[in-house]
Amino acid sequence: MQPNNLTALDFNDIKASIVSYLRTRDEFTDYDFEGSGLSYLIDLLAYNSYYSSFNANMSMNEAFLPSATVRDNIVNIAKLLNYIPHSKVSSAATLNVEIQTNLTNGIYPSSITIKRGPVASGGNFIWNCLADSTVEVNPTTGLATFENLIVKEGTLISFSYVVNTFQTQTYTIPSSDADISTLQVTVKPNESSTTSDIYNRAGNITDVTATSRVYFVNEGEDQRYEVRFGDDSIGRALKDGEVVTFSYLVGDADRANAVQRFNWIGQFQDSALNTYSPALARITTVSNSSGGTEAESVESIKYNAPRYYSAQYRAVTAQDYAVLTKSVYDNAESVVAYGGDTLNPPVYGKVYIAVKTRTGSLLNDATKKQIASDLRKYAMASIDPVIVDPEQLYIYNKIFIQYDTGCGSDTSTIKTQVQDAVTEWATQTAINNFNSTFRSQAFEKAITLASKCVTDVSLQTTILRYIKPQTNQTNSYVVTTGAPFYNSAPSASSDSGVKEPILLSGLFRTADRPGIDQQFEDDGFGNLRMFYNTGTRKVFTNQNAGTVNYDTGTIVFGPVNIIGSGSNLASSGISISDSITGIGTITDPAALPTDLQIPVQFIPANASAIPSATPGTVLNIISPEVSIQPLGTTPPPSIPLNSLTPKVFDQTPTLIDVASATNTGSLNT
Amino acid sequence: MSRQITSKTAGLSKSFADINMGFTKNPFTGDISNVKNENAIKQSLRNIILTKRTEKLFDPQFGTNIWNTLFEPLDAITADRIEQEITATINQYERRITMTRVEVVPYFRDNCYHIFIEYRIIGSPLTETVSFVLERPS
Repeated sequence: MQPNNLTALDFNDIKASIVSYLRTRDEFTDYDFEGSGLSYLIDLLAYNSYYSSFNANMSMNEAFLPSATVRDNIVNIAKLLNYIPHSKVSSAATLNVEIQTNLTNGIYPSSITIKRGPVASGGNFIWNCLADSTVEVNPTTGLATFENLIVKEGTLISFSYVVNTFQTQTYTIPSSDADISTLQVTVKPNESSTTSDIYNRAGNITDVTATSRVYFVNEGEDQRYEVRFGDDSIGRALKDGEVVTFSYLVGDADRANAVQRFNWIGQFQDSALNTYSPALARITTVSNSSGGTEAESVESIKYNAPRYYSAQYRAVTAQDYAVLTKSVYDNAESVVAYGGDTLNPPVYGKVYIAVKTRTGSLLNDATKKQIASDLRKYAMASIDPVIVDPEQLYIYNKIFIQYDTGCGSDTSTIKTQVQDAVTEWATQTAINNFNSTFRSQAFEKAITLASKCVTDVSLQTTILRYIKPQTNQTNSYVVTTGAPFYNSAPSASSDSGVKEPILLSGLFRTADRPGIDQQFEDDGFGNLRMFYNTGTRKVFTNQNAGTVNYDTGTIVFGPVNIIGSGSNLASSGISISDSITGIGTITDPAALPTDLQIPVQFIPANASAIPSATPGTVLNIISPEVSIQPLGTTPPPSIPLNSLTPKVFDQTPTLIDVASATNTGSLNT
Repeated sequence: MSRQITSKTAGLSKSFADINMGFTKNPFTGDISNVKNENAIKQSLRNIILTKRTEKLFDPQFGTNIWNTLFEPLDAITADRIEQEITATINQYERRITMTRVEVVPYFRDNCYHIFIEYRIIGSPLTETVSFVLERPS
């Protein structure tokens, strides 16, 4: 008889298979296979088979991208797809630095320089300039201003290799925490030489000649990157005795994000070779530190490598743009791209790319232009990439829970369990992202399973969007949710009957009534009405403040001139002639506040499934409000007519924190 | 005149066999020599008691912890612990016997324990004993 169960992978199964085989052999009649000496030998055989089968299984798994688990193996497979995982990226901040220069022989120096190296401290980190920066000095005042100086967090490291062509030499960057985007490679002819060539990183070989001074980078073992040079056919080869120097930042990645205050520690040197103490510098923070990220996780490599390969260094389909955007901009958490032809009205010849950053902040114009120009070299002729901010759609849930009072948990424990379950649900469904859909059934199920004490769950679901008006400009603002609005009384007509409003805005002030907070709501028949409250009475100021299309879920607010919203109000620059009606005029437009936003809260027709309105819309789930009642209490209606509360969303609300999937690909995790 | 009863005459309901852990060679067959019946069980008992816990692959509970107790004071309390350990382990892992007595005697002069185990093989009227000395490895 042959051994059976050849597919067994478990130690006990293998052992049982060997034992059942030996029992059939005459030589082993009467042998005991449990406590005996023979059992030790069988254990050894089984262990050996187990070890071999594990090894075979593991090595086959590690040979393919979808099943590999060890980072080094995943990176090696990605290497075949020409995909280089991004390293840790140091956080960067933008500063304005001003310095008063001194007179030398009665004249101010013509220029002043900040040297490459550590220049600022802040948030327990050191911040560096990666290149010398020189500005001109004002010859009259002697003031010099470094505008938008970019400083990056970390420690500048320099590491050299002496080239030896008689052996196979690998140029490895010795730290796994190096930020490869800051890597500078220089090569000098010998150790005593004072001049050196700068080598640039080559993306692909199409524009590399035999004499190009370029290097190639790929990730090696244990997240340490390897630098390779040309072979005198594709790129210049290194010669014996030359000295290669790597200079790069080793930083704290995302831990250094959101630093606001900086102290200057860098030296200045002017054109007359005078140096200035760091204490003389006056610095202002233009933008807080951001963009620091950890090295790319194995999940991300597995997701991106095949897509990057399919893009093949050219952007043809919309997905190619999305993939290439991630490779040219490390701070992109997720990217969606769509052709302008899919818009209404269509815009031909453009592809729109919405970028959600890791930090959640919006991209500034300079970064958008940089990404667009980086993408243009991959783009098909005449196709223009346009980087846009993602549109934000917020979903606000009020959760009403009935619980079994006799099951042994108090309300605060249940509340905590429900909040944990909601966070877990958000992580599992990858909500707060592009192309996601809110499904109330899955949401309710997650809450029901949060605690055995929860007996019933009901929801009040509303949608929130923000209008971002331009201060003191008469404009119309369009807001769309991509899905129909709730109809509060389908049989009522505008001639007979009344409908309850299904949308309500937050507080704002208009140019004609700068002295009173107004809101708008719908009349149920397609019109928006502006009003203000006097005690318990609504006073309508405009019955035709805009239109509502209930079927498409679109509102048009305006034309209207907004000069304030929520608590972001003008403290001066206005003159109020009637304090009751708020009527007045604007006396100083420059004193009016900017960055206005008006929350608008809607009741959707279908709260069971709420999709993103457009491909570039991010669905955000606001941290829900949880109320817990004993079993037997009647829950409130699921349609919150007359109980919309947009005023609480004057400030952008707190969202459910969706943990990002991080996996270092270590065998120990 | 009474006749001495051996396991052969008692007629065991089942015979037992095992390879000899000394891995000696059978001079007649040239094969590895084996041990049978009561000797196989004695060898098994010794194996179980002298195997340290976690030593057996994928069965970490197999064996005893008596090696650790050899570094405890040589007294009646430690002897009692050894006795309990042996009793519990044998009852769990050697199903072919019923244990009747375990005796652990500390020998102060030689710095060791003498262990006597008395048991009956299930299906046989005979009472067997196995004894060995347990001492700290030098």
